[in-house]
Amino acid sequence: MIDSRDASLAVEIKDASSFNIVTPNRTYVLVDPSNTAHEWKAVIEARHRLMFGENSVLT
Amino acid sequence: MNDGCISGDLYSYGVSVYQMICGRTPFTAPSQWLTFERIRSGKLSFPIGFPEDAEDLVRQLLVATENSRLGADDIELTAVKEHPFFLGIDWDSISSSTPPTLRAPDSPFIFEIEHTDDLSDAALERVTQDEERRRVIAKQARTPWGQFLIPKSEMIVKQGLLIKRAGIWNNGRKRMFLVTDLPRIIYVDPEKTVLKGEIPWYVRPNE
Repeated sequence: MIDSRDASLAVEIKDASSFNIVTPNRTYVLVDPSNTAHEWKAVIEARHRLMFGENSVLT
Repeated sequence: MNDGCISGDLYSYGVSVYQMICGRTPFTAPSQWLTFERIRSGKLSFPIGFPEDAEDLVRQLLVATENSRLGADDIELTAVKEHPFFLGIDWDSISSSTPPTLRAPDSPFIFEIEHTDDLSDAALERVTQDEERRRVIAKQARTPWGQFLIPKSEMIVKQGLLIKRAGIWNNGRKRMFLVTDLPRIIYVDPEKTVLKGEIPWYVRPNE
């Protein structure tokens, strides 16, 4: 089984076009030229919750 | 330990009865992870036309608490054998009796459109139905990104060109990011169509 403590993930929004995906080992710094950072956040977090449970996404 | 084995068999027996009667598994979902979610939720749905006795039997077998499954307390499985579904079966001579003739159901089973809001992702509802999902996957397979997906099973749920920065001193590189329902996040060099990496969802315990 995967321990949810090893599965923490956060999507940090800086503005409409900038966000970071923060995983336990690394932070991915991303820029979305079409300004849909919030959509990325919603989709990634929803998938992550489906896989690891409600408390796996750090807010 | 033996109790565990019996009740595990009772559960899989319930799954088999369900599938033998209506041709589908009880926890069918668009992806492996969603299937696990459905199993965990324990929510059962039966198509219209599924016989009542059979539904009752399956419901009593597919119980999360292993000791509560019908027959779990008795190696002879008396409670299962005496269930109304098996009315008229002579268990003592069953191994030498003639099996009944196989026949198709009188009318096709009608499956409800599967609601997946209980999986906390309303967006999935639109693509839950098998047909729609197959169509989307077939369409995605013909895009330049299709080659990076698991054929016939993995579906992109969001894609887009993002600039991936590697430190504040450079401008970053343009990458096609794909979030799939496996689920995973991969990114591709859009000009060379080469897979550049994957964002891990978790740290494997051995790493």
